[in-house]
Amino acid sequence: MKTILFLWKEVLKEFGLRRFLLTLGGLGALILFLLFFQLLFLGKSQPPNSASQPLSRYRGDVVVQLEAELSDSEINDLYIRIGDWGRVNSIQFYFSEELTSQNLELPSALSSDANFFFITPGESPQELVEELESLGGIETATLLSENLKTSTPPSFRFPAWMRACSLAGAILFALGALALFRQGMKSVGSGWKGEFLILKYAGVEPYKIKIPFIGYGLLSGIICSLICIGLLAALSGLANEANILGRSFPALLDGSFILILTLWSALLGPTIGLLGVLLGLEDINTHLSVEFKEVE
Amino acid sequence: MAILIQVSELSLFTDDKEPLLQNISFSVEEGDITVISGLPPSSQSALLNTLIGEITPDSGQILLVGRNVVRISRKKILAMRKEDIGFLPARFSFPERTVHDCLRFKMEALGQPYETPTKIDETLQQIGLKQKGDSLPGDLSLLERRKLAIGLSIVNRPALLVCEEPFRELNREAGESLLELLTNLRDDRDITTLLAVSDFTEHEAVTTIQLNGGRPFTP
Repeated sequence: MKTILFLWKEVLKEFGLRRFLLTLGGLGALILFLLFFQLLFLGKSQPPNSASQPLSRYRGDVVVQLEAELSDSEINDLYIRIGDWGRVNSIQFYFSEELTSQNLELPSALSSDANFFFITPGESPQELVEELESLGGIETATLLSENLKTSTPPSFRFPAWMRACSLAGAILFALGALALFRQGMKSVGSGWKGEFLILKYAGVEPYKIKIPFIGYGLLSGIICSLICIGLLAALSGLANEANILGRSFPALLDGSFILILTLWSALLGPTIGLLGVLLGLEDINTHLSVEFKEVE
Repeated sequence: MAILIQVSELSLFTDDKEPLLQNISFSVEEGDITVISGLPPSSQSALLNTLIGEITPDSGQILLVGRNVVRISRKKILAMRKEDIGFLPARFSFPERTVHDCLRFKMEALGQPYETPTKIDETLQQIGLKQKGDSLPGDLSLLERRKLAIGLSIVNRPALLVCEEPFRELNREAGESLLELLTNLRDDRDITTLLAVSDFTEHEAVTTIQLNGGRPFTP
């Protein structure tokens, strides 16, 4: 363990000072890969409320707009009172925000900022409307002459070219990260020729020599993943506050989707870092092998 | 004196079945400085790598510090190298570190950080590089680099030092100086030394074994 910790420290020192640009390039490429990967899926996703049941109101239903200053208990009393009438088949209460989120297109005479009762009348709906309008606390009651529609939500899919660009970017930067990590390893391989010779003939087990390098790849990947997951979390938080961001990337509002994307990012970062390092270990293996035939 | 190395009927072939070593037999006594000469460079290198367990021979036996190197596990071979054997290959590349840091690197890599300062000081004193601790190997003379390589091989105090072509490219005076260092190491640390060289003039301080084409040579 002492050997591994010591070599781990020496390898990190080596990377920090001499292979700074390669290391930085590898980390940057990996971060960009993860961001493009996330973008690819954020752009493809559907809005979180699209899966829920659409709110539908039909011709013949009565929409009742409540007065703005009604308290909760007054609304409750009114609800019970109307519900007890024999002419009402069903009655539902909606806050204005609920209607807004469902993009329900109300008749122009009604205000979208008010709270509503949606009533399915029994017999004589017109008489019901008149009776409702005579009640206190009701701004207006309207008999729907046609079905209410939920307006079409804005398109949440990126255009094909943008998705293709995201995919190409993700592939490009994944390959870039692999190549830079590999190059970093090869660079250490050639720069550490003397160290490898000492370690080999001192009897240090080859796996102990390689573990710090593998650890470097994993650590780099984990750091990149954490940065990208942090960015994703920050964007998700912003989307909940800023409406424009939420509408442009509705998936940012979907907790389960963000969780899946986080898990993928957490998996892909260390995998790419590890793969890049493993590809570069070939040179280190060469330095650790027997060279007696070269002495001729 | 006890036998420290006993090589019996050692043979090794290349992948193309070309012989590198054929029925090599010799022994080295504890506390001796023994020189093996007469082998072509590839066979010489193959013999030393076989001795330290880096290569498995096709046949024969090697008893080293009481253990049969051919039969023991890789783990035990590596443990032997950590404790008992110092090896100096023919072509040695130094790290881009100071003389002191090279020695520290090996000691700490072996997991002996607490013993490091004492052992490094002793070794630097013994190899005559006490004043050059902060120098880079590239700034040293050829003889000093060879001494540093020997210092690196013995800093952890092994019982056996195996060197391949330690006198290569050194002039007579430098060669004498290096041999004097090896003699001092034997006297001070009881290190048994096995040297493999392609060309060596008889010397009173050493035991010489001439091998020819992989077979014992009789003049």
